Amino acid sequence: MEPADIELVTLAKAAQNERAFAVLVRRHQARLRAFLIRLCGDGALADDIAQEAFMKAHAGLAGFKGGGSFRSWLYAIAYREFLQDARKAKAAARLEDALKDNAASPRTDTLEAGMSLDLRKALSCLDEMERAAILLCDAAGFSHTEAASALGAPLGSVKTYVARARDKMRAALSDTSTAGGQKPTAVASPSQPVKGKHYVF
Amino acid sequence: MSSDPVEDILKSDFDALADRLTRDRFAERILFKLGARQRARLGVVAFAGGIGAAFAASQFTGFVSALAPALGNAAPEMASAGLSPHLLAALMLAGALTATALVLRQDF
Repeated sequence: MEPADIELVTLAKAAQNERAFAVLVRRHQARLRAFLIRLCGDGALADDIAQEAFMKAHAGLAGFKGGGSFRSWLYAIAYREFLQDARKAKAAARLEDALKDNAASPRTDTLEAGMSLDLRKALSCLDEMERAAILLCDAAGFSHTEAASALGAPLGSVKTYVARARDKMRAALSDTSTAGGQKPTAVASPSQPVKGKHYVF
Repeated sequence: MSSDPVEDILKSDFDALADRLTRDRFAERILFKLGARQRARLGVVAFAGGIGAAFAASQFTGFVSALAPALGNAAPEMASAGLSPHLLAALMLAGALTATALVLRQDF
């Protein structure tokens, strides 16, 4: 049985055990990056933010008191990094371009190849906080409490963001499905090959 | 899967993307960078230890000679190359300090 996050954190803190932290990196990196990619729409930027988040988590591990889950603490660092990056004028322009690209045309980026155009459009119609909240709760499987901790927002606000984001996305997706005459259905499951995945409407 | 199609679509897309990201070498790159920081720290410790050892050896020539009498008699070719007994003693001490640091850092 694999050790829980909190056990690995304790080990990494107590014994400066790099192997314990390495397990945490391997365990969380893919989903953290997936969250950031869907949040900012730019694979390279997402990887930069994820890298910085892991570096800061490593340096500040002693600051993790265990009040919440390790992943919500890690995602909170990453989200703060994302916000800091987004505040910089250059990065903000890059982000805007990426989001426009997402909404406007299919990208050849391998990270975007598995994402449907409709999903891209639906996500791009959400504001930053709504997108982060729905990605954490509905995509990454966070509880509302965990998401609130990661986003640094009150629990009630997170619930509102998620509900509002669902409504907006449902409307955006149903607009597309009305045009196609069918209900949206995800064709690819996680176990299926992702390349060429698309949604049928 | 939940009954909400929006959640289903998001989760399916997210899981598929995360599954692909699991297979690249991002984690190894991060761990190498973290290791580089540790290695740099170790290098600084070893350098400082070496400087300290060299300074100590230069101050306690009698002690160094007592520890390793052979160091007191430099071979002519070593002396001409500038390798004084004290420098050799300093290098030996620096090596010992480096090894100790490596062990303490659990790199070995």
